[in-house]
Amino acid sequence: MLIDVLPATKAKMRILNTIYNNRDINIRNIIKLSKTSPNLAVDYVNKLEKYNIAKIKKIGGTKKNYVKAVSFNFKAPLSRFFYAIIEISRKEELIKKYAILKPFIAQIENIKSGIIVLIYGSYARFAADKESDVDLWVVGNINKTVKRDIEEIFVTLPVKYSIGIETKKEFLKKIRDAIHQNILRDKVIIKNENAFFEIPAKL
Amino acid sequence: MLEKIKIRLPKKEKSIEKFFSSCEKRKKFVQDIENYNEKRLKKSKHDLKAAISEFKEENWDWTVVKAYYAIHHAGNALLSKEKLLFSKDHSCLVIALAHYNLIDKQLFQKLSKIAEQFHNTLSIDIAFELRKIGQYDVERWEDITKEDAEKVLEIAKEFIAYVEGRIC
Repeated sequence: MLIDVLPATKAKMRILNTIYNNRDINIRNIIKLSKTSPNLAVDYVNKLEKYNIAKIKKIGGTKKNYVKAVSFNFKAPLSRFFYAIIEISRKEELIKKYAILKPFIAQIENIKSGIIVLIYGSYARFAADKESDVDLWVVGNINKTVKRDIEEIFVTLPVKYSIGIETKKEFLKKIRDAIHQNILRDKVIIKNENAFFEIPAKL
Repeated sequence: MLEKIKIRLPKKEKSIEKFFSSCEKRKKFVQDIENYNEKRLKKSKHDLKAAISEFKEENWDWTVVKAYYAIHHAGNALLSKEKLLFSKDHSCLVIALAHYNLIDKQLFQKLSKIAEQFHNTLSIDIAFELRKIGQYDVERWEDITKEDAEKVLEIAKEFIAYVEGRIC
């Protein structure tokens, strides 16, 4: 049943997150990184595969003995739904850990524009300290008003911040370079998760 | 300059209530539109950023004017969010925030000080008190120091951060 595949427990959520963040990860590493029992991990991965949310490649070995390389499947009908759960949960975690960001994220969400706003760097890695800057990346067609709105929102932020701005086309063009790969790996989407979905889905 | 100011807005609870009643009688509080607090906060931060720019340009008087407006809009954002009211009168606004316990004593003192001082010096409520133009602003604006501007800006930042923490 579909209900069995929903990440309704913390352990399932950790497994799903681990697969989402690590392409072609094997079962042993899923168990290790998600800190779950082998039985639960294997069972949940099988369920995710059944609904096409996880895709599995068989690597090496024989027909009976092989290593399963598990990845999040961005092309399945249910992927967008699971992707939204993962990204919204990450945003919630970020706000929980760094309460100072809460009002700024709320105001960014209120901007009436189709832009995507990401936090990357130490805050997105959940490794920020008092000295850390908040690194923002804005993807989309941004006009003067929206740029002004973003800058004004952060005027009361008690720590330093930086803002990078790119159109979606530019972002996709540079997707393979080191900065963009870092952003893709360690990011929290604070506005417009739905629009960002198309980017990893295209890779 | 700011240091020499004696606060004339009431401090004691009874006097605050009396002042608040007087504001009510004079119809200084108006019903706001739902969710308008977001727009008020946005305007407040727009004014704060402008105040920071004026400070960088060493325009101490304009720093104070814009920071004052930023405080006023932030105060109304808070009053609107919590009580769906707003006030164009700065003194009544500050009193309402105290009356409804939306700010603590320390913040109330800081806001009162600014209201007392710059209301007169810069004729900020120009539309409502035209008689003050010429009487104060053309003579006293040059008395505003960098330190005054710095302090008002600091209070504006502190107050707006407090308001957005409460309403967002």
